[in-house]
Amino acid sequence: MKSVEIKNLTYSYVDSTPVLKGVNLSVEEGEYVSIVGHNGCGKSTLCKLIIGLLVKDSGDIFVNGLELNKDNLQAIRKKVAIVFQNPDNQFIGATVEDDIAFSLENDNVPRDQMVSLVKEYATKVGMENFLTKEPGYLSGGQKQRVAIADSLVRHPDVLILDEATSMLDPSGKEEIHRLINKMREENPKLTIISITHDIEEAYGSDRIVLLHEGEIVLSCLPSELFNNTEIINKYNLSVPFVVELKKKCEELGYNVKDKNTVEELGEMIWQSK
Amino acid sequence: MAIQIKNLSYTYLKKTPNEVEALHNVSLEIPENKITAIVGHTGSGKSTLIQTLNGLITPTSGTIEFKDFVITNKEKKNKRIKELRKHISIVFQFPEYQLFEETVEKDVAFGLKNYGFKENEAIEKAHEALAKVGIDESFYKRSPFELSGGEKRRVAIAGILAIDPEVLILDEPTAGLDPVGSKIILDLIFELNKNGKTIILVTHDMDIVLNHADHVIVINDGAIAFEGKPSRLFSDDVSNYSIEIPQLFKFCKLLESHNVKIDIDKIRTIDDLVDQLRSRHG
Repeated sequence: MKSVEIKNLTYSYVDSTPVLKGVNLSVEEGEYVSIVGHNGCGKSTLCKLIIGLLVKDSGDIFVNGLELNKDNLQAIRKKVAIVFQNPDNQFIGATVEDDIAFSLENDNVPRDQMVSLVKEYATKVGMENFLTKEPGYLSGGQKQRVAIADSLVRHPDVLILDEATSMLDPSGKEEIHRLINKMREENPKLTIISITHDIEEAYGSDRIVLLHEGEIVLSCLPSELFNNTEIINKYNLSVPFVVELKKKCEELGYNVKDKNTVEELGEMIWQSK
Repeated sequence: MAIQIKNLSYTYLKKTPNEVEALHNVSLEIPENKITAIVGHTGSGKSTLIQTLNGLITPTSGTIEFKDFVITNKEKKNKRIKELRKHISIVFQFPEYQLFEETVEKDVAFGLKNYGFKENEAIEKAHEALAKVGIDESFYKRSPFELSGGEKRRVAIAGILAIDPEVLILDEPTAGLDPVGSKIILDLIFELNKNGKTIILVTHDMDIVLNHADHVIVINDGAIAFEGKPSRLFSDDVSNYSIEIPQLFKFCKLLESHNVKIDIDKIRTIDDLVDQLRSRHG
């Protein structure tokens, strides 16, 4: 089933500079898609259009077959959740439990259910021991985990991460990567669209979409993109360590066929003379 | 060495109930003509340290020596601070927020005029500094506000380079830039160092430390937790310092643990590893 379908989507700024020039993208239920591209390529604009924070110039957006328009906007926002870049801009409650409860309050969830849901989702993101803590006592990674709990507690079909790890330090990034994997194991139907500069994260997703100057130039498996030297050079992309290592080993004359992890490549080296 | 720091302590809000000791008895040396990285997690005291280095804040105790300059805790005795800042300059995080002039060249020339250069001399030096950061003359008359994020940052760095300091301190110079923008800034820093400038780099990015730094200092809870070569740091137990060991380094260690001979001190980039593996093959 198609989770998100975008047809010929265009959007321009007020001064009519085009940002998106006819984007077509379809994402399957349960798929984890990363959208990569340089600053200003239109990645964040695309996300904001999907949840109706911006209004398109032309084209169509469907979420679970439902067309995004004025009548369906509220219904679609119940299905799609978004986590933004800056951990401090999306912490609304005074404490972790208030923050998770906020979205439930909007949905008129009865109090007794709310209490148990807050605990359940705080536990899912590993924040159950911080329920009464204020945001000032949390690290960036912890705040982003709370933001993800806020989203998940409403059972979205689609989770959008808009550079959700870019302001975090290495351990914060790692926390979020682990959480994404855990979420997918627990709910294989959850669709994830992640906008990211983090090449290692993108490499772990099901599909990469490369956006350049408002157009999709490539949509393929991460391994296909990173092995395509021409595209990598043309769009000045960074390459995950394992892909670079594999290429270098090949140049050294190793047979790297079927060697896809750092460990496999290492073993190949230490077993050779 | 370029800068010698002895028993430096700094306490915020001293003699109030909220006093916090940000630096505690720190002694270290910043080597001349090298790239020194300062790492440590948020709140460790990194920013406090770099602010003491050019006299933006006065130490609570201890001294900082650079050539014949000495900064002490006696604020009134630190008369040559303005002169010192000509030798040791800081590029703050997100320096592009500090751009303010009408044109790019005026913005870069501003600091020079503060140091008594005449308008035409200042503009001439501004042009030289802009050339160093790869901003050509088509930008001179443009407003700094209409540039892209990466261009703004280079203009802001040019403003400091124009003063031609011997020691350049940069706080998270690649923060918020995309990979292309980051590379331009890092190449520039590397080039400046090759031409003789002492660089101090505050960063969270351990790939930058491995690829570029000669010397690394880890600050933890206001004290020096480590000082030495990047390769030695990554060989240490770093679990307490929010440091992520670069993948390249981990891979070299993996090879070493299986008896592949590697001179790990000489590895900064993947190409260094390739060279060593190649010679192994004969």
